[in-house]
Amino acid sequence: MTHSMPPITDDDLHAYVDGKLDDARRAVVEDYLINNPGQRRRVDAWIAQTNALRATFDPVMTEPLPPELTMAHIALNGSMDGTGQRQQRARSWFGPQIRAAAGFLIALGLGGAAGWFGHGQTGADQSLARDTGIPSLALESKAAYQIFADRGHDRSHPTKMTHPTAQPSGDPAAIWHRVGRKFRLPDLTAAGFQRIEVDWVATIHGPAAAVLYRDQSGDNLILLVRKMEIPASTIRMVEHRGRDHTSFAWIHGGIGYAVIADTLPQRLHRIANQIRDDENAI
Amino acid sequence: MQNGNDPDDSAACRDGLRDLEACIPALRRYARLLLKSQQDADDLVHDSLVLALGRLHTLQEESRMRPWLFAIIHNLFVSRMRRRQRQGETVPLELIDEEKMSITAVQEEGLRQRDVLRELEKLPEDQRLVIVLVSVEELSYAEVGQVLGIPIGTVMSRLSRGRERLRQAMNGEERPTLRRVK
Repeated sequence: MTHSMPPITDDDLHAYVDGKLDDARRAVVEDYLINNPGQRRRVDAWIAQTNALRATFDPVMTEPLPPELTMAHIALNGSMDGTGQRQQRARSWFGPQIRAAAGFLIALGLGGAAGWFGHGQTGADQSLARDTGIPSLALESKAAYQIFADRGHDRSHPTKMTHPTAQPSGDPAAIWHRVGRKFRLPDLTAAGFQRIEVDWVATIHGPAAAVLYRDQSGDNLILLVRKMEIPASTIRMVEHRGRDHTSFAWIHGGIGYAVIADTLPQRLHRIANQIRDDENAI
Repeated sequence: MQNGNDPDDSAACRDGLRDLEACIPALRRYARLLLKSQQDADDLVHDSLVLALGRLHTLQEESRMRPWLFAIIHNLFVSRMRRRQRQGETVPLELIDEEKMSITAVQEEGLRQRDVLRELEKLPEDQRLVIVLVSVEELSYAEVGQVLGIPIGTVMSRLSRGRERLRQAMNGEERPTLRRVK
């Protein structure tokens, strides 16, 4: 703290009202206000204004969002023409970019969109604040599954997962470095799945590792692993059933896991439990 | 204040694309100030989100999403107002519809809120916007400057003038002469 504090200004008083002073300066301003009742009255009036304004505007914050204001809807339908009018025919204004963005968002599980698409609820009551990350993981694994597992069936690339911007694939060290977390590749041989390939994929929430496994009948299984935004969070396993696949997602110690396959849910559940228990045992 | 739904919690509204969604309630709140009807306000929010989605790649990682979004909605609002003015349409200056603001029924509080709204509406728009962005949206002064495209010094002078006008207006109503009694 310096000995010669700069004199109190009006800016200081506003910053005091808005809680934007550091401790030292706030103490100085408080002293000043004790000795200057006229200024104290001004400041009190500003505080009262602020409280009244918040009380007036804040109810909007808890109003349920109309469906057209959910990102899921906007990603699908959102577009404007040149005069700023909203249009439902959509996408013409932004062309391919918005279409790509829409697909990206949906595939990777954008906040409320994850719940919306994942559970068939209306978007209105979905909120990011309640997104635990599990719906996102489930959708991300689904996206990885659709892209990579399908490519795995491509005869010209029978086993290779490739990503245009990836490191030379298959180098686990490079992938874990990118994902920011070391992780032992689970061995699922006992469950009948051979590890085919490992690579990283881009998600909205950062890079994730995707591990492709395949069993003798040619069923694919994808394990997706990424760091979660909330460190050290742990959320128990949640099952998602899609039309032609099942996934299990869980979070342990701030790391999110999702396994997805079109195999029997009971079989996949056992595998998911095994991966979880093996990881916890480390 | 609000519960966990409140995007004022900056952690809920920092970087990452899905965080757009966390900012929607605050955008609606601000749009409700800019536009009289709830439908118009929500349309403005919608179109801002569409724009934001298209420009998301331009968002610097370290910059906060909220001021960025407020700048988008503000600029969209201003450009539409200008267009309407060019087209000879009247621009509503009384921008707030009290009915739509869900003013609480608690009598004294309610009165006070209505007063502050009425007086807020009388302020010049530049002062009104600064006051709301600072007091309600709780942006930093620098962020307000970023949203409105003005230097921080201008933010402070508008804030100061606006708050003083509000204070005098409300004092004048509440206790007309008390202050002057020696």
